[in-house]
Amino acid sequence: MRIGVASLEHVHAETYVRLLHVWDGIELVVADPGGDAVEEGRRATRDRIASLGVTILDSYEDLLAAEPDGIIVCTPNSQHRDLVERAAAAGVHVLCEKPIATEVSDAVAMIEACERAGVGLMLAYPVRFSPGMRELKSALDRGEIGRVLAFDGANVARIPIGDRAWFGDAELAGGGAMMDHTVHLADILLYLTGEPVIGVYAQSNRIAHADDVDVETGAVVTLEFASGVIATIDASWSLPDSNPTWGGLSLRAIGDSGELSIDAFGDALRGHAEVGARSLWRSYGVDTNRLMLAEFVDSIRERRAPVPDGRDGLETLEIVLAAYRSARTGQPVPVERG
Amino acid sequence: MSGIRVGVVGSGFIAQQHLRSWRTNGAELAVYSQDGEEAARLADKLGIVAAATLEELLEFCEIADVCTPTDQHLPVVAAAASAGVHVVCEKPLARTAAEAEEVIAVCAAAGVRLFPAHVVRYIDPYVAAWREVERGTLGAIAVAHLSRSGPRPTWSAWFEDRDRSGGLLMDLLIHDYDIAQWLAGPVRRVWARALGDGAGGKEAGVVVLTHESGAISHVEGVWDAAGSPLTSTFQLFGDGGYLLSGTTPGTDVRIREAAGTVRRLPTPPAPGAPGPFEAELADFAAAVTTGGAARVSPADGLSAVRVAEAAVESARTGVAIEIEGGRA
Repeated sequence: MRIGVASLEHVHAETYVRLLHVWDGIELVVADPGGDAVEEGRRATRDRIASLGVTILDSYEDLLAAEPDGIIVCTPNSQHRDLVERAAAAGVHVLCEKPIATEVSDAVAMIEACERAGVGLMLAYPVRFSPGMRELKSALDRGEIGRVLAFDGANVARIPIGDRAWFGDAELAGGGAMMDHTVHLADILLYLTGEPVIGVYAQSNRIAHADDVDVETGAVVTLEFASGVIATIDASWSLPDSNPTWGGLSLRAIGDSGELSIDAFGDALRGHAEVGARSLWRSYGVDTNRLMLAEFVDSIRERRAPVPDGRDGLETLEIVLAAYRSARTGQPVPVERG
Repeated sequence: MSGIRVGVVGSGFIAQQHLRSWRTNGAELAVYSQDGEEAARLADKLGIVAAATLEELLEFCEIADVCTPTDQHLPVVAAAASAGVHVVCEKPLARTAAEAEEVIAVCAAAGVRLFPAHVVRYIDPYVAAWREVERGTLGAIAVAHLSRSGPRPTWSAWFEDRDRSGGLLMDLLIHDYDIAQWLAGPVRRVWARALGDGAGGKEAGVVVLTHESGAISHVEGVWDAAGSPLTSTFQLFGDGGYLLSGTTPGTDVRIREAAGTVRRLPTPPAPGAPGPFEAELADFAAAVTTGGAARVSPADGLSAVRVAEAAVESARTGVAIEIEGGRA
């Protein structure tokens, strides 16, 4: 099987390249048009990938001409559609970085293009593959904490603009921290509850990194589910640049007869080193990116629809867009369906 | 403060806590309660005087410590003020902002001091966080999380009457509204939801506060079954760094039992180190003696009630409530 990585613009692209490069039975193709004349972070990624012996193609035409079975779309958020439509037209399955798009119309067009072409459209939500998160769902389904009243989630991180400036560009990214970080937990919460979100209240600010970007860096988003359950998501880029790890994702469920909580990236050694006078954070344990890629590869091999799919991506995008409307108006808003 | 004469009004949970703490602080004490039997029992236990009437208590004391149910603060404060007695008033200052303004007005008119008893400002981790914020270590606060969980206050029936207590969104979480404003400045917008049936079962509240600075505070509280432990946590994120509250057991001794369950032996207070209630009441007494400011001002108490009232209103109506120029 041949898998293509389309663009190295996303910070996750290098992770996918490294995993697929050594994946048994996978032939890797990488394209990064325009990537050699840009910022240092992306150039450094290209250098590291080249040093693995991986060739980096200069156009998506060349990538699709290599006839991959599937591609991973790693362009900026607002530029997913064109590439997804081209892949679909070529009969190529797609794993798309999150959020699926920055406009509902783009997301719908992508879903329809893939459906028409009979190719899979999977969304890159790695936390779905966290075994702990699956155990959390099964514990909730077993009724371990009774009826859930509320969820309290945080996906808090360093600002990613040091590696890729476009994350702070409203046009390319569709927003800042709220666009970048609400969707992971929103997706998980939809998966855990199995219910739609009917209302959203969000507040955002730009206190951290006020001089570095024009987009929001602080965001607290609350989701109201059909049953009345309330979930809070801190989606902020509020960790200092010198933080020993990129960030994390935690979730607590408050039930009427108990509580459950998970720190999805909690498998890590913590320490402090005299050299460089810095705190240490060394992650270990399950690599959810690997499990996510395995689902993509398996879905292609088994000729079935991948999970999570484009509709999951659309549902989470609708929630984020509602969050922006709420932050703008200062009032809770209903979720508008595409 | 040794020898300062304090009259505690009330005989419930917080009155008993304050009585013990005033006694540790060396105050001369008397107690008055509408429940005369309970007042007599407390007085007997502590070897102090139980006043037969509120007037008698007010004649005795320099500071009246008002520990009556929230909707009964104003009449007692008014009586104390007109007797020329300084006032410590348990939080919330009153059930509504309008009533809290009256509480402040009667004290100001009579020229007596008023101290809203927001004890969390005297609890070590919060004090340490406040000092760090003052020092500028975190820079400007961008996002704060404050959570609090404890047993349903079943010790007095009036807590269950939301018209009287305001319920969890007022009575429990006002602590965190006060801390949020202490650390990140005045709040201008409030959104809240109350969860759970509230009919004696588990109840939760979720509140999002937007500060005038733009900072966002996420406040969360739970009233759980009787006997559940009182816990609180916070996380503060600023443009220069972040601060997370310590792990709950802290220095407490933990016992791992054969069945694998972990039990805690709460750390006793160190000799000579005041607990939060002692520190709070000592601060108020010192402010009376010196004429200086206490850590909590009447305006702080009113402002916390405004946020709490807005939270109750938001949960009732479903919309976010604006607090215009500090007035809901």
